[in-house]
Amino acid sequence: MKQERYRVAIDVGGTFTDAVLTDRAGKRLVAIKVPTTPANRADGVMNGVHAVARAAGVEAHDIEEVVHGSTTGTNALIERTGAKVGFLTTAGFRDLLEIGRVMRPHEGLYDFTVDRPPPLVPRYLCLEATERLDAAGAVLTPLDEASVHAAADAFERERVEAIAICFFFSFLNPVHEKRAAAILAERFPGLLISLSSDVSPEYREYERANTTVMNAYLAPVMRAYLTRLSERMRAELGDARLSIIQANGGSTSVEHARRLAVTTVNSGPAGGVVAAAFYGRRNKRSRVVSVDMGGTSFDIGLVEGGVSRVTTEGAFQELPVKIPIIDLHIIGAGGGSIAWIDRGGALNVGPHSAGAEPGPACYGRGGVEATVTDANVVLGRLNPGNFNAGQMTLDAEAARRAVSAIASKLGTRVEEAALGIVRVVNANMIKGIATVTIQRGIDVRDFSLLSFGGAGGVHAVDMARELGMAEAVIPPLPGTFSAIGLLVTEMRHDYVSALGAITADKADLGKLERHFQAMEKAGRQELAAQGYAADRIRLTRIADLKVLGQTYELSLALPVQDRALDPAGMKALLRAFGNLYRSRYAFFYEGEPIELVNLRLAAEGLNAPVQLKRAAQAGSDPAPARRGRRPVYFEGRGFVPTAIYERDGLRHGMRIKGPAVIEEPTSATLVPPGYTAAVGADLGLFVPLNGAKEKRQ
Amino acid sequence: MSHMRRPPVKGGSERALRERPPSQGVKGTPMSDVVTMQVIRYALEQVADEMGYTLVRTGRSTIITEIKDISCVITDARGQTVAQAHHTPSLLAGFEITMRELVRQYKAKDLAPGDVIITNDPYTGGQHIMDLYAIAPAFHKGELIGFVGNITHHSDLGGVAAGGVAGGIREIYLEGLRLPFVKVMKRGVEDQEIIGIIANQIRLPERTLGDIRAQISSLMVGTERLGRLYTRYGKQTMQRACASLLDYSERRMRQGIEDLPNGTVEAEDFIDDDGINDRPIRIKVKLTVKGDRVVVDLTGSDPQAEGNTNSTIANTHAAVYYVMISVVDPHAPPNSGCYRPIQVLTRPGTIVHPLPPGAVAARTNASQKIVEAMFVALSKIVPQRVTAGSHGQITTCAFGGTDPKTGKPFIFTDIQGGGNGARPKQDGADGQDSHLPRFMNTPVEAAEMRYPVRIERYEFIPDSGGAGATRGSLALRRDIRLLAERASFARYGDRHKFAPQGLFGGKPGGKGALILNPGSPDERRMKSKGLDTLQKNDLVRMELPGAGGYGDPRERPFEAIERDLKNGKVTPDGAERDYDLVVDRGDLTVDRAATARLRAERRSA
Repeated sequence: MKQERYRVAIDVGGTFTDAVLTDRAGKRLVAIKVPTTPANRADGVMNGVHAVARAAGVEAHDIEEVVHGSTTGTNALIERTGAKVGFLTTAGFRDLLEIGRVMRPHEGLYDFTVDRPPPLVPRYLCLEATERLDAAGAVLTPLDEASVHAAADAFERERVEAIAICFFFSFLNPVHEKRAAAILAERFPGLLISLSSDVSPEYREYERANTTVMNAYLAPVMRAYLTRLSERMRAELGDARLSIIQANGGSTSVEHARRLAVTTVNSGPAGGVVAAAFYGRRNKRSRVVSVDMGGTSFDIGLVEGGVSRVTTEGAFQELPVKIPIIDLHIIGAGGGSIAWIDRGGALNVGPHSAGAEPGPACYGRGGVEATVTDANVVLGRLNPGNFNAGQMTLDAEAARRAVSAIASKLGTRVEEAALGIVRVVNANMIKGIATVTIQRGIDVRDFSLLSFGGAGGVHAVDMARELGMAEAVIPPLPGTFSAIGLLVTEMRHDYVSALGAITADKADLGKLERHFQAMEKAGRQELAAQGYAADRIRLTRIADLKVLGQTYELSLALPVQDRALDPAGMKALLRAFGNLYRSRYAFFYEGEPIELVNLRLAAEGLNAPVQLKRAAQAGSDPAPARRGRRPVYFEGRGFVPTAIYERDGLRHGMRIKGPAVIEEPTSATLVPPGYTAAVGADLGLFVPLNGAKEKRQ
Repeated sequence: MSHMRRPPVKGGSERALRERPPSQGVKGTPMSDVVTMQVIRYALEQVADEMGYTLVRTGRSTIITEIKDISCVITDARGQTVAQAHHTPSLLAGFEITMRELVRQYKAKDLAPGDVIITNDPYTGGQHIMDLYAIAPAFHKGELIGFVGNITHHSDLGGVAAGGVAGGIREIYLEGLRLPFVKVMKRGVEDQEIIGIIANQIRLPERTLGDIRAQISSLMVGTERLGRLYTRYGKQTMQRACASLLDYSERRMRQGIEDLPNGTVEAEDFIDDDGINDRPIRIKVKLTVKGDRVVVDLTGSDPQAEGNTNSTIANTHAAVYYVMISVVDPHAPPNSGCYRPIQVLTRPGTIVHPLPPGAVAARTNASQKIVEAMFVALSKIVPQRVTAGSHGQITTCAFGGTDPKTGKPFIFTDIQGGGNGARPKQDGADGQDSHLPRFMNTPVEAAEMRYPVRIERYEFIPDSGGAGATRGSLALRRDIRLLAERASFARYGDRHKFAPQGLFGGKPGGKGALILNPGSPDERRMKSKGLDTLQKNDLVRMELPGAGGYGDPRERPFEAIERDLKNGKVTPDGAERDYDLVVDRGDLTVDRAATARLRAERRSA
């Protein structure tokens, strides 16, 4: 056997692939970036694995696991390059996918040119089977097998590459879906058949069908990609295990990801939220808003009680998915967002982005429009001479020219225009943060803003202050922080048992207990097959409840987890529901009947924790890290001489008084006047705000 | 006698507003105002959206939770809308008029934190009886700073028919409990006397009161968040930003209107009937663009109907504002400022401005026709910025009876649109909502789990989209079977007689129909508006209207027609009839050669 073994995380982004390596005990941490290879993403992944192994001085064969956040599914959805899917549904509802919920997107409120995205399956591939269950799951019309064969004939003629089945009320009784799948499996050996009762067994037929279809749409693409990648890994790394990150923030096996491909969409940004939760837990911050600000997108996530928040009402590319996914909100704002003046004279920023090509004007690649990055250069907040690890020099004059154009339209000075650009993009991002927090009934004033990504540190303090948050935190290695999240994920499988709404205080507790036990058995088996010993398995019982007559549930973990569901446990659950309800919606009328809609189980296989490098304790004076000063422009003050620090030179306990800029290879942090950043044990930067006392680091 | 109603222009004369340079706010340094205004705009929209979210999450009826027939606004202390949630355009302008009346009746001294005022009076700015406004004053340091309000369609507020959506009703008194402004909550305490009065008049008090409480929750969230914004920014900044926001929207609208050619254009459309008298009702629009202003004159419309197809003044204004914003500047922040350059002329006692005791429940049959007629009128001056005729109505129906499973009463309200018009460069999006409503459908599984109904079919109707260079959207068909012993079936719809209009050579869309027990010996057509009793196992087939095409069907690319053929959206017979061509029935392609011959023959004939 080998002496020391290592785990590697690979996060594939649009421009760069981030690779992070740690040892089994989680003590070492090495991070690098390599270019993404869009033509064959597996190449980029393997390049990353080898490069980070080289950088760490480790033999490739000593790697025992590669944890992978893939964009393959996301890209197939964006570019609409997924499989040709045949969709089979209950007679009378062929148009289920295209009719959807009929609501136009809210950008289309007054603009009648705006449409919902088209369905993933065109009408001619949507076919009907004669069958029907009633609202209790009883058979009304038995499955007419000839109708399934007729659909199969059509699928054969059209050479479909995958099949999705969604019958009405199959979440209560999958008998017809299973029979139809068996018939189709015989007709199409080797083709992946997705059943709605398997992928998303919950009510609301459109959302369930769409999730199932998306799974079928992505499965062949994921299968091809994962097969290619597994083969390369076997050849180059021997028996190392490949784990795939899911949108629920947990990892899973290749086998599972092939079958449930829809769970891998948006897994990269999910890694960022998991990393934020992990970093929060390490630093005793259980309530965190996680924001990842890159070039084109701003990803917002939530951490409560030290755990990243999961939703079952999410969407990928505006198509709803009814599976548990990390509650992520992605908006078009980033360093590359372009500033423009509308016809009413108002300044707007984004959602259009200069992207990587031509990029902001200051990249000197032909961009002429002012971007957020250009504004930050004009304001002195970014150092033109030290950008992207010194691999790039920014053209400050080009930035100024671009922002001047905006300034003259506004009739103001170039610095004021630059400040305006920063304030408007901040307002946009703040509204996005409000959407995932305030809208979910969460008071952000008790939360820390954890800001990372290349541009995260420059805007963090302003945003957190504006939101009235307690503190802004910029973690170490902000440029590759999402990839660290991949290393700290646990293996995770979600299970659901739909109950079809039963009154909670009249529920048959024995029956509920049997549902939980069945899910627990399945969870244990799946994790054991992936090599997790019993003591490395964590099972969490969750219930979805609502007030009688409402249609939206609140999901909460059972307060009593460690014994069979009894009357006391049910009482505790209902009490917890009342409290959660009150905190979300202002009012809870006591005494109203509560309904149970679903039981869920989260089954996790626990991995070894990762350790971040700890910096030595030093005095509070940051002078040793000081790298001179330059003028930086601030609201209401104009240019102010500002101290510049190098992050690598910082030590635990140092305090950096604003105005200051802290620079590092792929990011920078701005500390405005009147604020002080404290350096944590792992070089995290903590800026208390809004009168909050500095917390312990 | 011509009655003029004009949105008030506040904060200076129109002239002064017009001459302000575009980059400036109201006062102070222009730059910081422009930015602060944007920052506060996002924050206000967020509060409105959050109110809507709370309402949907805590509501009881599927009409709120699934269909989302709601709207939320924030107004200033004078009642002017400064921000609204992304909901239903048809409900929004109503706030304008209701709030004007509310601030006339209640001075600041009459209001306290925790007060909630409700009303549904169609004659003081309301919609119809089923749409209940709830409005709460918001305070900052003891001073009234504005109002938050929401409106939602209720599943029952009493009246002759369960669900309150029967057609063919003569008097408002039969349509349900008509509430003037009433404080249902005083300083945070529900008024049990008022609650008692309401509970006595309605069929499902628990359901309706639950929905009213959801409205109250949403208002409490709204006042709290709005107060927080005032604390954050201070009163002066907030008020200045709100004023700038109104001016900004006004400016955008005026600039957009200035780009339209000056002149007067006219058009009309018809409601099939009023549910009582079998004769059409005319809606006539005369639209004048003059510089940066628009006058929409509806005074040529028919007299008030005997049945309840009358459009309340709020609904009429909403229709006009919707079309103008949509054509002129769809991305201007929708607030009262947008309405300032638009003058709406109506005559009291007409279909677009009824007087009491006229009944109004089926008002959307009229207001959607205002939208349709305005688009036709505007097509004469801005052909690239309009859509062809849409379904032009809203089919709203309610089933009410006793649920055999529970022995308790049930009311299932369902709302359906239909096709939406072809656009200059896009087909109408098949079956999706458009224009005044922005609703969702009720999931079949949600309906069947809640109510004794079975929905057996919900699908497109082939060939129902009007042919054109771009095609009108297909209509929908929905079959609902009653599983209870018997139930009332109230509904109003339209376009069973007058088809959705095509534009510029585009053909009309399919008409609607309501069929009881299709394919059985007792099959019969039902009136589009009415109130009937259904028996167990009766099946109602709703065929909704389609939508008109845009441009000459012969200009439609063959590839697009072939795609429609392959997808079964257009049948071979339909394609040959509507597009003047020959279909190869074997592989469902257009026979190019035969089509060229056919078209040449028809041209020379």
